[in-house]
Amino acid sequence: MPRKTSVIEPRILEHAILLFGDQGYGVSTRDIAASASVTEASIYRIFDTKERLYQLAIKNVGERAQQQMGQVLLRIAQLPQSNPKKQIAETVRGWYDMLSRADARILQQVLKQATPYDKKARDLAWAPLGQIIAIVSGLQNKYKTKTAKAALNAQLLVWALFQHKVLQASPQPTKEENQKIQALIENWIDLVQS
Amino acid sequence: MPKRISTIKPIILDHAIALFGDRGEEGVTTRNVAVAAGVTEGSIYRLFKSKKNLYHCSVSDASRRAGERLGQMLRDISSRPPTIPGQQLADTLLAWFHAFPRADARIFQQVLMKSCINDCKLRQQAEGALSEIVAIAAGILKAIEAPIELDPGSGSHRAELIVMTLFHHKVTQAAAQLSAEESESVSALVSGWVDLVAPR
Repeated sequence: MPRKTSVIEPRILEHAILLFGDQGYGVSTRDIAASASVTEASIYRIFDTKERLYQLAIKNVGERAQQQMGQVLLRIAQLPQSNPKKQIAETVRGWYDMLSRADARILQQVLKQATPYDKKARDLAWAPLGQIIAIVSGLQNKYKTKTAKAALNAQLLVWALFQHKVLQASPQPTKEENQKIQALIENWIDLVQS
Repeated sequence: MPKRISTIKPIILDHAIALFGDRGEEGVTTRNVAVAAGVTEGSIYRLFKSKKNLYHCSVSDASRRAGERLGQMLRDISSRPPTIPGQQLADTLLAWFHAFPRADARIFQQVLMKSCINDCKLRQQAEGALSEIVAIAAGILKAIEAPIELDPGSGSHRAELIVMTLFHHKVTQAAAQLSAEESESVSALVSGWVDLVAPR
């Protein structure tokens, strides 16, 4: 008996994100079906085409990234205002830890896409990154950094961390990778503080 | 009459890097490479045996080119009259970025995205292309900051911020040729970073 669409749709999407993120658009619907333990026919019944499945995967990742940004903002409010260094470090770290490698890779695939140039998808992928840059840039006001400079500083940190996430060796970061990220963040804060 | 190996090998590699960089190993056929390079598929198999080997040779060739560019860059720097260290730092990074073809950056990224299980040698080649420029930038930085005691890791952490950011921008560059707008924003990032790490 075919299972309910409402149950398998999110599961297919999750597996599609993992595989598209890892191997790019070249992944076959057959692989996705095997990974999600559904039939290939179910995928076509629910999503019509591989292209549409990919677009929905992008949309899903974009929405999740937006929700995560909400959590980042909530977290900032809970962190002690008296210790700006800790506040920035934990905000950035929280964002970095929440972003999964597969999601980061999908966002990057979209940003990389030159042809066909899909402005809507690109804007969707850009939005969460632009927001974290704006947040980190805003937090630097505590160090009385000029706005334009703060935005540049934030971009350096966010793009470098984003690239590290994309290149992370496995879906879960290793202890070494974690330490490196922490060192990058703290070193950056020391820099903007001075 | 089949063309000479010494002539067509670099041409094939050039086109293979461009195509693999754009679409990945799976997204390109040897037929695509043959058409782009204007040779027969037979010549590709004669020279490279398999698509897998062609991909490996492409990564190695991109890495060799990256090494050559860095060498040239260092010679250029040392042959010019000394500038202020901050300027030198910015010039070095921008020269590296501008000479780095997008296809090469993308092919390195593909390799770095794969875990080490399959081929560690390939990964080392791709890592080398990035770690060398980090080391060079960290070296110049160390010279600038000589009077201040800086813990040894922090110079390379600082250099990594800009190198990874530039690498990201190169990989996501909209077209193979850098647009004026992109070029401006990259220059702003570099000079912002230099101001941050080596305030004048």
